[in-house]
Amino acid sequence: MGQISAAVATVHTPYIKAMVDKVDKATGDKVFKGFESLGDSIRSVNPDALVVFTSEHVLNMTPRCAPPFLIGTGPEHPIFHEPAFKLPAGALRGAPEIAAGLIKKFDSSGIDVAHSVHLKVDHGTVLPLDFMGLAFDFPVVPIVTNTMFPPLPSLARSYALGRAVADFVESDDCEANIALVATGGIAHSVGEPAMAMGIIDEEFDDLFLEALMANDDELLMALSPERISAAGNGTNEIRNWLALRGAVPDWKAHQVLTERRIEPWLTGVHQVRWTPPGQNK
Amino acid sequence: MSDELLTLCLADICRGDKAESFANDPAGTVKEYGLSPDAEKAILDVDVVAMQALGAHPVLTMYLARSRGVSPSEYMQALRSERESAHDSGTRAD
Repeated sequence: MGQISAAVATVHTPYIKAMVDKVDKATGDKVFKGFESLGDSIRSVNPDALVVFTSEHVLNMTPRCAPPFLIGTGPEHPIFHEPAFKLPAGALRGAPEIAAGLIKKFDSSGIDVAHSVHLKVDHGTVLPLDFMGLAFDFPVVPIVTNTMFPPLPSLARSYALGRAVADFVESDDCEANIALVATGGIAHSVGEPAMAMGIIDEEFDDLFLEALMANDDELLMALSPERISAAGNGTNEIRNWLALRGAVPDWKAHQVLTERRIEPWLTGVHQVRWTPPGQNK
Repeated sequence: MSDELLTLCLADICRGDKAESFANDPAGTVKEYGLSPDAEKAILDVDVVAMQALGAHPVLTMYLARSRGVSPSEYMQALRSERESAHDSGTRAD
């Protein structure tokens, strides 16, 4: 029987790197220190692998084929070259055995997950791992959620996906020590007029974070597609955070950093870690 | 022509295996997709507003603009101008 030993969630906006010079040093330092802190949370438990609930931006999923979820099963995951975002080059190490076990559990749980032995990863996955200092130090199982091409998986489906991950890890079929990472969100627009108008839905972020802090999964699950869309098309990525919630429903959330509005980056920056029952922050 | 076909074209030329072909021969590459003349023109002109009005995914209109040298501020100005113009005329282009 394995265990989940750490869980963190954060945004993956590429402007953090691409436009780092547009933000005042004090804010930038807080953001990067926050990432380091999240990375320390993971590193301190020395996981065998990271399971990353993530999104991508038209890479493996296109209108040609857009499943609700896609898991990377290969020994490595090539990093897609995005010169504007200054990502590291190369590939993330995979964890094929853990991925295979997860697929079996998803299947027996009635959750349909597509799989790829050659899953490319973009800034959605790489950027947070890089900032946390984890990208090349641990094997990674990316589980990509379709947040771009409707119909998107429901919030409940994402939560169930996370539950199935936990069920596998805690079963006799797994002996690994796993850390969970969720990336994306929270409220933001990509390429839409709202982005151009500088609209950041801070009210949505506040509501979402308050619900996370209160372990109010019912409220989170009740967020309507309309309310999510109104907060910006990138807000669909909250599904990754909900998947993490599904995996560790009785863990306590702690806000590592909340910057509600960073204008040059067109979003807020939010970093959260969870601790198991009985453990302090 | 569906907006999915337009988005598929943009996906291939911005993030997929048609990127090099598009860089070398934009018109010839886009022609392969059987898009409407309006859609072809919108892509070749990097007309963000027109592409989005035709149903193109906003993430991809942004990626196309970036790949064709449109600065972020120019991109956003194009969308703002459209929004302001729609507001002034009493209609909203959502």
